[in-house]
Amino acid sequence: MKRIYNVLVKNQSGVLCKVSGLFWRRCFNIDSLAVGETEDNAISNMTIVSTGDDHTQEQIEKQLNKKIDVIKVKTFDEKEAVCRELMLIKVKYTRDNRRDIIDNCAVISCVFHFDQHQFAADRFFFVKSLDLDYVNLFIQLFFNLLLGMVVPRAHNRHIGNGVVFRFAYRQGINVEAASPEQPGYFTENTGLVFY
Amino acid sequence: MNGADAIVKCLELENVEYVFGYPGVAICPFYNSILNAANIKTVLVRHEQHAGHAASGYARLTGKVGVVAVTSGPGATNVITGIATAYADSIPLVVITGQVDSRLMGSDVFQEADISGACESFVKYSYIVRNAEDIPRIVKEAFYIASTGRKGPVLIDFPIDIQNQKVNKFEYPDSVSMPSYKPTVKGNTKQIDKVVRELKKAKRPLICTGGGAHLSGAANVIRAFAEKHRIPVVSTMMGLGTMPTEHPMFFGMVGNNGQAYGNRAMNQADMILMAGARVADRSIARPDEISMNKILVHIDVDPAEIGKNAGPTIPLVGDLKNVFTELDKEDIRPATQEWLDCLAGYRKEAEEAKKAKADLVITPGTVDPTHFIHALSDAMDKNAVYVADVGQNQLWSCANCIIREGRFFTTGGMGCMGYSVPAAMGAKLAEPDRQVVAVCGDGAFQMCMMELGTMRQYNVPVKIAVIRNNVLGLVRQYQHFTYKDRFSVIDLTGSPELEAIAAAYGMKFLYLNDEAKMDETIKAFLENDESVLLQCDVDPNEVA
Repeated sequence: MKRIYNVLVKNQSGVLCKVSGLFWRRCFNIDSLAVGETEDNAISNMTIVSTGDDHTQEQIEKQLNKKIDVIKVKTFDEKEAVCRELMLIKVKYTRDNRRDIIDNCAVISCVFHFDQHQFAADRFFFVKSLDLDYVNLFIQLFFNLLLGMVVPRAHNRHIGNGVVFRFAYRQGINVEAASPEQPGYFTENTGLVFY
Repeated sequence: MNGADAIVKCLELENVEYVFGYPGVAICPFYNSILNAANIKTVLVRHEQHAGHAASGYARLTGKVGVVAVTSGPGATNVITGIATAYADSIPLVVITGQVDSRLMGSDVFQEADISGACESFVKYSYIVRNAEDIPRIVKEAFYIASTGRKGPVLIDFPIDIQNQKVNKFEYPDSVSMPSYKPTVKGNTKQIDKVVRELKKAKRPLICTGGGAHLSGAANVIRAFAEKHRIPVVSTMMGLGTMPTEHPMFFGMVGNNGQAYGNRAMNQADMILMAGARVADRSIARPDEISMNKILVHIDVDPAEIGKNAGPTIPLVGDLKNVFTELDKEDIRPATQEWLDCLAGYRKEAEEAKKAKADLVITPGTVDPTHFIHALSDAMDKNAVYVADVGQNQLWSCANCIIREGRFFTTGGMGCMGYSVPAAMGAKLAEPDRQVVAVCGDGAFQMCMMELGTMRQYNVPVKIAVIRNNVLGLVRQYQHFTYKDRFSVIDLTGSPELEAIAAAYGMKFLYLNDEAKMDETIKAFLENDESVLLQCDVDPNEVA
């Protein structure tokens, strides 16, 4: 069962290590983690998504509260949170497969309203913030269109309650073309592209 | 005034009496400044780990914060076991480690270790001092964090350039302002009412005390509560001493190394007040099942402990002293006479079985360790401090040591071999007029025997009884049962002659290998306030 932990912490060096170390030491899993400064620069906000049974979830909350650098912990069910995933997809092509790749990607771009950026002659980038369900749909489509393999995922959530937190978010999917017959595939986490 | 002067000044203001440690270049400014502190005595241990243990012994007896100061790199990494032991046993320590120049931190220079990173799992909190002006606040907070809530070690990593940095304004704060750290001391009134309601109805209530009973200074309160309301008490290993061993309402230690009658009491109780105990694996074999047929009230100052190992019926966060004082205000007095008689019957059965064992033949040239510990603790001063090490000696001690008005120390949480001698040394320094006896095996003794030098240097007359069987007894016992006598790496052949060791450190030496001479040897062991090393030979086949 997934649970989202919105953790306000002191904005000082070593705090991320202390919090993530807690998860490691007590064998709690982190599905995703996003950290960023809040409007008060003495305080940072961490959004941690973890999976576990009721006992684990209770322990995560209690152990987080026990940390002296942790100011406040709020927990949410997935349904209680607004969840968005920012996808960043790098697509590489060669002279031979350029046409196929661009055609395929144009379909995706059109359906999903991706922003498209071209910084180099042999690749371009898609950027899109999506609801998680759409991300899943996108991956399904991409799998069919581009014979996709494995997609690295990380979720990012904006939590409600009238407070907007800023996030630094890094995620990428690397798509490379293989041959004109096999226009592209997802490589297995080959280098994240930083946004 | 520089940073080192400032930190020493802070220690003086915190009324620190002893600093246990080992200097090195990176902590030299601190050790230079401490020469000016008239009221702080320094103790040079022979290994940094033992500085942690000695401070632990000191802290446990005084209730104050133990202070350790060691150098960077290996000095700091050596002290980790001492810190981890204090963390597992919830002992308040402030550990100051020297660090390389802050501008060189992270560049892997000589004797640099990321000690705050390395200790993250073992400290309640850690600081790296980045600016000497922050020292008063940091030290004030460190002592506050270490000694409040669930107690534990706090690390202050102190780069050498910050120790030498000039402090323009020194102002020691009167109070601490930490919005993110506010331990709950007072028990929730509604929860207390619930406990009272259930206690009144209970037919077989039981209090199980853990180390928290001593840490919160609640032992006397719990004892008075149990006596007034006629509720029997058992203890975990860390809680031993909450009730005198011979108290009619005390029914021994629980757990897989505890007394059978204590465990029977736990099984048959219809309501258990788990007080300052973690419900850990050694005390409660199946923590998840403990509340199946009973009402489990878990009282602890650390909310994270409640529900961690066993789901309580009534959780109650608060300091034990406070909670039991509140409970005591109510007229509870459940009808427990039948239950007490039943438990007394179990205890009597067990004592008779023990007497039957006493008639068994003892291997010539050895003594029965249970007889020895019983006789030794019986002959000790009423308020003596008994420090047990780890291993078979610890289990024999827990089961047979008679505690009256004294204290029983052991590391029940971390189980760190070599704890007894340095911890006993710390306790003796804390209260020089009190009799302090360390009991250890020959394995553990060899992990800490270098501290005989410290004892001699500072004239700390601790009495040390080494239960010798030339093997790592508890591991041997485990291999005997689990691996059917396939013994592996437990032989201590090559150990030194203890008589020669005693002579080398100018200590009196006694040897016991005959039950007939037990009483006179123990008398000679305890008679004067001097350091004595007693070798007590036991059969390696003895099981605990």
